[in-house]
This record gives sequence, C-alpha cells and structure tokens, in this order.
Amino acid sequence: MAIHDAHLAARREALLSRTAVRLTLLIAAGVCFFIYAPVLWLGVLSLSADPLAGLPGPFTMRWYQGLFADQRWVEPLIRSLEIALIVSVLCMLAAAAVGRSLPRLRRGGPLLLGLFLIPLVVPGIVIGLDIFIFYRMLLGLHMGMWSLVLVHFIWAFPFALIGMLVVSTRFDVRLLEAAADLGAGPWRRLWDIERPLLMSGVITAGMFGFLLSLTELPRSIFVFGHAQTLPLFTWAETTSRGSHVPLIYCLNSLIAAVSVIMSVISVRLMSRWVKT
Amino acid sequence: MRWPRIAAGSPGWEHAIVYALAVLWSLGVLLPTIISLFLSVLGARGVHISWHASLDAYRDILESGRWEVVLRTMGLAAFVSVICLLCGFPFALWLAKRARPGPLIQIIWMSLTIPFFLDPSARTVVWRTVLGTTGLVNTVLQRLHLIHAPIEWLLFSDFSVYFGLIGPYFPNMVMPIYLSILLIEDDLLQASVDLGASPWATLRRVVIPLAMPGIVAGVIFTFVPVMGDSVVPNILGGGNKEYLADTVMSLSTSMNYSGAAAFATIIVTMAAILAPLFWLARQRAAVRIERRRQS
Repeated sequence: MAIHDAHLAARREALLSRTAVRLTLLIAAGVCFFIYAPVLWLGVLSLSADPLAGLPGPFTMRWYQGLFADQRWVEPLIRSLEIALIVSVLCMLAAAAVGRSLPRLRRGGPLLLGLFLIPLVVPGIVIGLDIFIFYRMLLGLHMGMWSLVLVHFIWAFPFALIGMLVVSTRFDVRLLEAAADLGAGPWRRLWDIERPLLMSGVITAGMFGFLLSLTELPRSIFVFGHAQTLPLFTWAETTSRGSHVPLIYCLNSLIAAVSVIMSVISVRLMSRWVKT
Repeated sequence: MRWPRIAAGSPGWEHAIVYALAVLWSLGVLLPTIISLFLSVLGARGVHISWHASLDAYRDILESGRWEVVLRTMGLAAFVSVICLLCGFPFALWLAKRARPGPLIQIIWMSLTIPFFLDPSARTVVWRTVLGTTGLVNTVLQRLHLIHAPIEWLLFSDFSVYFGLIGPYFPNMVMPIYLSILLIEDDLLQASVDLGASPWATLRRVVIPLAMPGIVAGVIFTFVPVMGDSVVPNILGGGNKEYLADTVMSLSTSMNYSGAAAFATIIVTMAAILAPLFWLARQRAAVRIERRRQS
C-alpha cells in the first residue's frame, strides 16, 4: 500500500512539475493578496490620523472614538443584526429540513438541488429588481423589513444548503437502520443520531446565513423601503464621497473582523466532518 | 455528486417537507423572478403597471445607444472570467490533486470563503486610497523617484474597474473547478500515465475534459455576476463609462421599471444561454468516463 502511494505520488509529481506548482501558487497568492490587501488596508487606515493621505500614520484611535460621537450608524447596525439573526434562523431550519432529506430522495434529488441553487447564477441586482417588481408593483405590498429578509434569504440559502450538504451527504444512513432495528422510534432516531451528527452542518448554515445577510447590498438597494441596513448606510456614505469615510473604515474593520472569526469557525466545523 | 440511497424506514413526511419547501421556493422566489421579466414588454407608470404589450423598452435600448453598454459589460465580464480561469484552473488542480491535507488547505479554504462575507462597498472604496493620485501607489512611486507626476489612469478608469473585479470573483471560479477535479479518480490519471501519456497530454486529454463541467460552472459563476455587479463600476469607475448595473440602477431610480426589466432580461438571457453548456459538459464527461471504463 505504502509503495503504491509512493508510486502514485511520483506520478502526480510528473503531472505537475515543481516549477508549474510554484508559478501556480505564486499567481494564486497574488490574487488572494488582491482580495485581502484592501481588508487589511481598511484596518490600517481606520487607525490612521489622515486616512485619505497616501501613506498611513500617525496612528490614532480618534476615529474609533468618533463612533461614539456620531451615532447615525447605530440604528442601521441594529436593523442589520435583527435581519441577519432572522435570516440565520430561517437558513438553519430550511437547510436542515432540505439538506438531510435531499440525499435520501429516491428521485429528483439533483433536480431539486438545482432548483434551490438557481439564485447563485442570477446577479443580485436582477433578484432585487424582480422581487420589487413582483411584490411591490404586481401585488402592491409595501417594502420593508420583510422584503429585506426575503432577498437576504434568497441570497444566503443556496450557500447554507451547500454547507449542510457537505455534512449530510457523508452521513451514513445505515446508522438509522441500525437504530431502527434496535427499537428506536422516529423521534429518537432524529434526536439521538441525526441531530448530533448533522449539527455542525446546521450551525454552518446558520453562520453562512448570518454573515451573508449582514453584508448583503445589491439586492437590498431595491427593496429596503424605509428600513436601512449597515451595508446600505456604507453604500450611501461611500457614493456620496462625504467626509464620513473614516467612520465607515472603523465600522467595516470591525464587521470584517467579526466575519473573519465566524468564517474560520464555520470552515473548521465543516472540514472536521470532511476528514472523518 | 453521488447520492447515497436508503433502503427503507424513511418516513414520507420528511420528503413531504422537502417538496413543500421546493414548491414555496418556486412560488415565492423563482416565479417572481421570471414573471417580473415580462414587465419589459409592458409599460409602467411609477409603480403601477399598464397592461399594454409593447416593445418600447427594447426599442429605447437600441435608439438611446445603450446597447453599447451591454457589449461593454459583456467584454468586461469575459475579460474577468478569462483572467480568473487562467489563474484559477492551475490553482484548483493543485488544490485538488497535489496539496497535502493539513492546516494550509484549511487556510486556503477559509481565504476563499471569507470574501463572500465582506461588505462590498467597504472593501472596494479602499482601493481609492491605494490607486488615487495622492494614493499609496503614486506616493510610494514618487518618493522612490520612479515617476515625477502621479499616474492618473490607476483610478476612475477602465483599469480600476477591470482590476477591482478580479479579486472578488476569483473564489467563484476556483470552487466549482476544484470540486470537479476532486471527483476525477486517481486511477484514471494513473492509467493515462501508465499508457505512456506525457503530463501535458494527460492534462489535455483526461483532466481538462473531465473537469469541463466545473470549468463551465466556474465561468457561469463569474461571468453572470460580473455582468450584474453594481458596486465596483460605481465606486471605482468614476462615472466615465456606464456598465449594465449602472444602467439598471439609474433606470429604476428614475422609476423607469420596464426599462430596467429589459436590461435584467438581457442578463438573465445570458445566464440561460450559458446554463445548458454546463449540462452538455457534464453529459460529455460522463460519456467519456463510461468509455474509459469499458476499454
């Protein structure tokens, strides 16, 4: 077995020569740098006395203290957190219900999965506009918090479902049969066997839902009504080229820090199950 | 994806929940998305629909010259997709077949996931302080006496729009390609090498055809969202050139909803044209594997 593995490794080596690997990683690291450099720079600038100058510094906590003075961000933040929590719970419930049964359907599993994943290939502004046209113009409903929850759910659910499926497609259904043979009823099987084994998928779904909702912008622009979320606030401030940019830097540095910590936790939860 | 089967004992109500949610999803999400597109052939006064079929919205696109916006945006989306594909495919190949499981893989996965959770306008607006005439790049270059006057085309230009879109959409390209390469069995690669194929031939005749569903999915996941990206062109484009999302936003701000719906229809049509390519690629990959098994 070990010899076979070593052989295989040598063959793979031939498939991708060392130089090609280095080049590949260099390019990928470069692209990842372009993803993360702005986020780190955001944090650096939020501490800089003159954030709009070319080089940062001298460093100060002034802008963070400014967050207490100018509190226009508090209401959008609270609204964003409310919506994110609702979307998170909805994602957990729906992803749990769909994700655990989808792999066990005898027919139509892949088709249903495709149905749920369609929003991934529809740009945000199209979803936002379409939801507005249908619910506001055709049905005459007034936009508000419910429509924000709806479009955030549309955006987040496909990701939540994928997170759940990573765990649930690895679930060994024979465990349920064994439990049934040993006399466990349906509720007992659900609670004692499926719940502990699938919980990490459900938590991942919830975290994806929370984070995707917290930072959602393109769909929200069309359906916010009188409600304002933090990304909408940020969007308004950045496009108006106002003087409140330092405030935006501080707020979003904090949000980015929360996002990074939560995604580290959720990816770790998922990968623990991929390994076993 | 392989679908595990359960023999018996799975109660019908569990499946009923899935079907019920699928119906709700179809009625509440998918149906509105499709129906709304029909507004483009109806008129609208404010938020009230006028029920007279007409192609005015589309005639406006031709007469106002806004079809150029469509072409320009398609060029932008194609460019970003190609760059992401060229950088992403080798990376996905390495990630799926070469990288050893360990902390490095976890870190890479996290760094590919986190971009989805960042505020789009916050992470884009930072580039202004990096690329602007008094920004980081120009300041550093001037301090080093490499340039005498600031480079103007770094910000509020085509360059900044193209550049700003590559990072955010890179994970969209890598993830599907990674999954499709992961599904290629090592035995197939082994067989190709045993039969004397060079690494290049193995890549071209085994890996790429079998990874084609993932490549097509990656292109769709990149091309279509870039067509509809409203943040980067707005913040980094500086209003010099209009892209599709700018048009949709400005039309809906001026309450020309049937005009906005016409552009949305164009975007959805692009997605609908590209989507069948994925099924085609899947079909062909499946046939190919079957043929290998038999021979």
